[in-house]
Amino acid sequence: MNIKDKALNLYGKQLSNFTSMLNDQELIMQFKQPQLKEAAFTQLLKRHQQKIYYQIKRMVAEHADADDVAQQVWIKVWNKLDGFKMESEFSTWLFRVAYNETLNFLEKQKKQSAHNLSEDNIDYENAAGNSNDPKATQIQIALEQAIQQLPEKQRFVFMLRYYEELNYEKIAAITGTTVGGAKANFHQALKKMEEILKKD
Amino acid sequence: MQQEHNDNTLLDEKALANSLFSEAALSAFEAKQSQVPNDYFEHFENQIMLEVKKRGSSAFILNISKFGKIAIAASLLTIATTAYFFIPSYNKADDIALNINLQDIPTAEIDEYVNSNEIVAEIDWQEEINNESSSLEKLNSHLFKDSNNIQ
Repeated sequence: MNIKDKALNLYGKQLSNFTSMLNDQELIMQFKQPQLKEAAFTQLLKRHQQKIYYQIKRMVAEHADADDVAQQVWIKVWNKLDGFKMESEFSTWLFRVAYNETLNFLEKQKKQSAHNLSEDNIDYENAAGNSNDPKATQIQIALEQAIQQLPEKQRFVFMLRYYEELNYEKIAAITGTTVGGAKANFHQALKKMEEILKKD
Repeated sequence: MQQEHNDNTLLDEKALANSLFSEAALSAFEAKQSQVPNDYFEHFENQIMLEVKKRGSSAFILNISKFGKIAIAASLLTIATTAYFFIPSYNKADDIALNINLQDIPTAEIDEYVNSNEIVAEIDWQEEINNESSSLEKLNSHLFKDSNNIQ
């Protein structure tokens, strides 16, 4: 490693240390400056990628699909962040992008499976992907299947509320609904899952 | 106060979900979602940056192609305009006329055509005569003025 590389490496590390101390809003301001764009984006990515990935994975179940959707989300963030007006928290906006991309993905998937299979042949047990897990208890398998059968919006709201522990104001902003609507979605999800489990 | 209320509501709702579906099953679901390949997130970061750079360069090409589109549209417009003025127009009527035999045309139609064109020809000739006579009159008047000047 020559002196120039060492200097660049050191500069990169210092920049990374510096950006890690900034909050999301400050990072977005930096993102809007061409020379700091990449460092700011990398920091935002590091900070939020896991939450976004897990939320997508809860929706799509398969890692490969979650990876694809997460990539789409972050590429969209790179392309659109310049226009972000900071009227909401960055994380809310980010979850909203993830919500839209996930719904688009599920819609495409539905169309594809409708093309390949008749509605009656859709195997929710395999869709849940849990039947091969020897450690999974019956209730775990049933719960996973019930989650898979929820309408997308209710499922997304349930995950945000139960696992991400977000408040309803934020959930409403993410899913483009009212606070009352978000609450209703959560409770409908509980009711529907209960009904599915009772049926089984 | 509001925050406290929200927290209580959240706890109540989570307790409700746990009682309906078993907390263990809900935790197991989450544990399953958290399983990712080793170093996935480290690789993901690099992957995204590569993808962003790749798409960034393709976006540049797209920008060029936008100008390209305008240039292509302008070229096509120029070609169309030039063609309109310089390429001799192809008259389909001529082509049809070639296939028509003179004997197939009724005599009445031929008479009508000749008569109507004769009238046009007469009018044309009359105009030409009038023009010629007026120009001769002008010439005469010039000559007359010139002869007066000589005298």
